[in-house]
Formats: sequence, C-alpha cells, structure tokens
Amino acid sequence: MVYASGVDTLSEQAFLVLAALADRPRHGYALVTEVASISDGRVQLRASTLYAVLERLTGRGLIAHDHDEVDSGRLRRFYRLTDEGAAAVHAEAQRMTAQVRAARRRLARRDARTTPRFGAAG
Amino acid sequence: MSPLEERYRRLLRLLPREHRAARGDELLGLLLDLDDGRSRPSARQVVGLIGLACRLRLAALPVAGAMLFSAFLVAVGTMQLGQLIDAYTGAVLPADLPGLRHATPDLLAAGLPPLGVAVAWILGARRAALVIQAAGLAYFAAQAKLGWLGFPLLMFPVLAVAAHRRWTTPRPRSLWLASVVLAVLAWKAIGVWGRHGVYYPVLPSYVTWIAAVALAVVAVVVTRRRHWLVLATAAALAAGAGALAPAFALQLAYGRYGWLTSITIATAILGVIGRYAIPRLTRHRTAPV
Repeated sequence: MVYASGVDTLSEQAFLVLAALADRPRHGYALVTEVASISDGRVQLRASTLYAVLERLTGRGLIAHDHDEVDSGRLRRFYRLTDEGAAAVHAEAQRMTAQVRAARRRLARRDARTTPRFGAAG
Repeated sequence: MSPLEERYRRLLRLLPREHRAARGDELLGLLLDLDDGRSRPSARQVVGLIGLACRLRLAALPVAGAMLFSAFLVAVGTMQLGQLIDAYTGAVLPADLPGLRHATPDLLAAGLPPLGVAVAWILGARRAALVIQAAGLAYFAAQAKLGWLGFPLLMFPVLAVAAHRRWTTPRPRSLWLASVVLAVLAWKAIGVWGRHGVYYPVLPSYVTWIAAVALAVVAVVVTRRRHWLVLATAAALAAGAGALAPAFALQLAYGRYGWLTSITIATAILGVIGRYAIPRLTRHRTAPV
C-alpha cells in the first residue's frame, strides 16, 4: 500500500525494527530484545521473521549493513538506519499520531453524547 | 560444535543455497543467541525456519514459470517453420507441390510471426513481441481468413499477461537463441520420423529397476544424514522416481503427450541446464588455483 504522499506503508514489525535502530546500530539479537521492549513484550520476533523484515528493509534502502562482529564464534551483523529509513519512521509516526488524534476526537464526541446529563430528562 | 548448533546447521540447509551463503552465518548466530542454553532448537524457531524456507523457495517459482513460458514460445514459434521446411525438403509428391506452393504465403504468415515473437521475447523485447503478434493477427484478419486466426488470437492475451507480469526469458540468451535453431531442426526431424512410422517400445522392467536402484544410491549418498528414517524416505522416493522417470522420458521422446509438449519440455530442460548447470561448471573450472 502507498500513501497519498508516495511513501510505502510499513508493517508493525518493520516499523518496530526501524524504531529500534533509530538511536544506534544493532545486531539481530539486540533487535529482537529491543522490539520486545518497545512493544512492552507484545511483539516477540522469531529469527525467521526478523530475517525476512531485514531483507525487505535492506532492499528498500531503509536500513543498511553497518559492520560485523564475531562474538564467541557467532557472527553478529549490525544494521543502521539510513536517511530514507529515518524519513519513513517519521512519516509513519506522524500518520499514527494523526490517526490516534482522530480516534480520540471521535471517542470524545461519543462520550459527550452517551454521558447522561442531569436534569435533561423529563 | 554444540548439539544445538549442529541441529540448527542441519535445519538451515532447508534454505536456498544463495540465501544460506549470504545470511546463513548471521541467521545461525541469531538462532544460537535466541536459544542459548538449550540443547535442541525450539519448536517456535523451527516452524519459523521451515516457513521461511518455503517462502523463499516459492519466490523462485516465477523463474520456473518464465522458463516454461519461454520454452513454450520457442516450441510454438518454430513449429510452423520447421514443418514448412520439412514439407519442402521431405518426400513431397509432385502432385502435392502446386498446392504446397499456393499455401506457402499463408504458412509463412502463420509461421514467421510466432518465430519473431519467440526471438523478441528471448531478447527481452516484450512490446516488440506483442506488436509482431498483432501484425500476424492483422494479416489474417485483412485477408478474412478466419480459420487461421484462432491460435494467434488465443495467444495474444496470454502474451499480454506474460508481458505485463514480466515473465522474461532467463539468461543466457545465447542458449535460448540456439534452442530456436534446434527446435526448428527437431520439428524437421519429427516430420522425417513420422514418415517412417512411430512406435512405442515397451521399456524392459530391468532398465527401470536399474535406474531406480541407481537413483536410490545417489539419493542416499547426496543426503548426508545417516538417520534410518531419512535414508528410507530418500530411497523410497528415488525408487519411485527411478521406476517412473525412464518410462515417462521415453513416452515424452516418442511424442506420446504431443510433440509441442515434448519440444517445450526439452527446451525448458536446455534452459535449466544453461541457467544452473553451465555457470556452476564454468565457475568450478575458473576457480583460482
């Protein structure tokens, strides 16, 4: 799906991965724990899911390979957010904020309608 | 190597080779981090990995589709020309010659556009292929020869959909262009063969069983796992394939399923060899010493 502004939408998982990379480069395991932390433990990424998300985001130029480290014989590949990635996170955050505002406005109107007014009846 | 790493390495073999080469170590490191302290992979990660392997392998299907479609275009595109060449160079009776000469313009008009379409498609000129197909249609429509319109008319939307979906011929193009020449010769050979009678010999059962045993042995050697269940499954599948494949290949070669099918499959096999086998062999040969 594409916005009217021409920016592709991001899945929740992709958005969370981009948000996790916003402050500094991270490797796969750090991303899984960071995404769980950002989402209050609601989103627990599987290795395969993270791999697919990273592949897609790299393909779209939203993230890039930063550097590799080997720790206890395990390869850790670090990713960083690109400028395009930062712009996509901003755009997605604005979109979500606008939607939350709209939802709150409507809820407020509903509450105002359904709250009983003293003395209104009879 | 820990038992967990060994098991994950085995599971990672499910992924396509190129993905494994590009991301295998990274994914292995991540899996080991996530399942640290365990001796066996967690069911959650195993299910995810199997799903990922299926998705990545299914993503390769459009290449197979494009290859088969290109092979079909080659088979269709060369049929009329091959048959025309065979009609002129075969045992044509003097009495039939005037009729053949009279029909030649129509036969050429029916044969050259599909050939042009096939060549344009191989060269990646999808729009040109559509224009050539339309020109062939226009010729017969202008001549009001409705009998010749059926197949090109049927092919046009198929070609348009394929062009829209970008089912371009996989490389190497030179091999596909060579397959056009080979297919013309094949149609000529089929004509020659047809005049001498086609028969379907019964394949001796011992040939199929030798093929079955050979395939089972190869499967067991290639499958590096020595678990009895894996060995039994590999042997059973190979035996089944070995028993069926030679008979199927023979019937295909004898045009049992139609010559168009035979030439399409032969061309597709040539395409597969060109795309996967030849690069692998040449890469091996030019490896640094």
